[in-house]
Amino acid sequence: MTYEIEIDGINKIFDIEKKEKGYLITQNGKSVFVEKKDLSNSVHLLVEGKSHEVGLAKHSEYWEVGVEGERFLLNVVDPRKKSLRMVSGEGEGLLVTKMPGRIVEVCCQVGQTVEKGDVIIIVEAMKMENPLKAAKSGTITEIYVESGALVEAKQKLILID
Amino acid sequence: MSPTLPGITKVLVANRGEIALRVMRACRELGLGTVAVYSDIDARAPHVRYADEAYHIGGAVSAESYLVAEKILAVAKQSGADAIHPGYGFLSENATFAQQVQDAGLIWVGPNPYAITIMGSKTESRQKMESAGVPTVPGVSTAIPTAEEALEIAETIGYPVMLKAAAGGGGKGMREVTCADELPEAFHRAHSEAVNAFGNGDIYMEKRVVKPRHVEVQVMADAHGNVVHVFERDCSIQRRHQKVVEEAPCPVIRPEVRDAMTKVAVQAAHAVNYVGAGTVEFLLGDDQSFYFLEMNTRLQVEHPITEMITGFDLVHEQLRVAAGLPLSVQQSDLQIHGHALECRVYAEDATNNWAPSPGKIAQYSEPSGAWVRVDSGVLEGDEVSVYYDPMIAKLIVWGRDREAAIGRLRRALSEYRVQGIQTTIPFFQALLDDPEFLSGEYDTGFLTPAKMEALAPKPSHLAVAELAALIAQFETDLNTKPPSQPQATSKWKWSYR
Repeated sequence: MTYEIEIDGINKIFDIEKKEKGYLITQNGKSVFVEKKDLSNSVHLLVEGKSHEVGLAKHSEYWEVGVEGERFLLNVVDPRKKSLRMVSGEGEGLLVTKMPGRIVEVCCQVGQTVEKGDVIIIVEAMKMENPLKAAKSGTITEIYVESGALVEAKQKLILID
Repeated sequence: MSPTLPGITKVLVANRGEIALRVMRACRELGLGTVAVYSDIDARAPHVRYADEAYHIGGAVSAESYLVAEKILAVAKQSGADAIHPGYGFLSENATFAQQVQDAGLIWVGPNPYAITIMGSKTESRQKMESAGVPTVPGVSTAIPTAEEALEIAETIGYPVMLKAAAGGGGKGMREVTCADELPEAFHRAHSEAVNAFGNGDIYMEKRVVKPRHVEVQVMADAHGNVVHVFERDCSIQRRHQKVVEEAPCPVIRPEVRDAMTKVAVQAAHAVNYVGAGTVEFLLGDDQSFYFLEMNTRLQVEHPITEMITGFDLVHEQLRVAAGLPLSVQQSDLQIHGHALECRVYAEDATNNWAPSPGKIAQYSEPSGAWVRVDSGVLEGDEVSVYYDPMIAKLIVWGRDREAAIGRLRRALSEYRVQGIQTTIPFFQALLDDPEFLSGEYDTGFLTPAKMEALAPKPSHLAVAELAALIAQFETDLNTKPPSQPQATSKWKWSYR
């Protein structure tokens, strides 16, 4: 079975094969043998005799992996399914929340022209007020929220055209 | 076990998270009963599970639960608690609440309301300290009504200046202003934050001391007029004026400056008839001059490092003096042994401008081993919500000297595993390899954008992580493939799938 992992824009191709006691993984002509044991809240890997306890959590589009305090978000893709994935999004004109919070103040109106860097909305999260700036110059075409509203992560806030 | 303190048998802890647990543990050690209060979303929180009794007090928003004095007083009455420990934050520095507790015939584990009031107002505390001979930073200690007046005052003091909320703490309502252009916006933001956080928008201003360290002195006082200091902590590693890493003792303070600073701190406590645990914060300039910043009239987040270098349990002592007992130690009993460091593990992405990273903690495993202490308020499966402080735990280590403590901290961080949310652990790992931090030569401006870039974690375990993710994905795909001959599977087996 072949998989792709994309890191910093570079696609790495891996081959993985199930063996009796573990997995044989080949990348760039080099193979390693990995034994894996599931523990109660982590997994233990023996990679060619080297021991690692690893945290592993599944998210919708990626695996979250923790090794010795380091944390990685890795998207492991079956290259055959890759073509089915679509690219979406309105681009940099759409301001979206990064985290859940509360709208303190909407500092713009529909139809108003703004410059890149203008503060257009203030969102409070974890007791800090964060002024969010326009990522590009343009006209405000849509405001999706009101002052005082509670917002979820990745919620649309404002669209600039 | 029978209680050991006169007048106290059961303590209501008016807080949540790690500090509620810290206080309840001390209570158990002293044979005292514990009462927890909790909001809607904290129903199964660790402090609730740990307490002997627990009472629901309202909604997730603090203003509907942990900040409602009447609800907490009602629980005290209902449960038969005879003392209230406020922890830090929430109502801990609310003089009205302290007074209400005392008026209800309960023991308040904290200083008298008078001391809280004076020290809670930055303007009044400044005046009080000046008259007590404690050195203060140049500035204006009365509330500034408008941005226009703020501009005038800043002209006379000279930039850079700091805007601060009179009722503030923890960096909220605080802004540094380097030139007149920035001032109006900064003034309005500080004012708005102060109104939301403290219900009081008063803002004052002082000159910004250049290259200062934040050094604070722990004091402990009883109701019989005795005050001791428990040496200093250096809390100069800060982001947005909030502490991230603390160490004790301060790595650069000269012995004679320590003597002077601790002496002044004791003077400050005497000036307000202080009782209990308190912290006198100073700015330490690079010329070793120091200025009073503020006094925190409560237990501090970073109190464990003081406990580690002295062996002096600050929470036990708080409860003792609240019960009216004299201090259990004299100044000469307290000595500095070795070095301690604390990392505040926040649910935040340090590399992304410390953006909060709330969410479910999918996996959680704490470090342990010799001279490692973890004060945490979360368990695996818990949700880190947006309603409360993003700090999930404190990692504290001790070593016989600073180098040994740093080595131990590195080791402990490598054992810490938190999945599901981003934390500041990778940042600490990078910090502990930074030459400037290792030299001890840093100030409160240490974490500049350039430094943060240099401290971007350089992960060294990517290869292992890739193998783990790869196998996990492979196993998932194998398990979700439709069976090759579904007809051969009995209907009973299907229903189990």
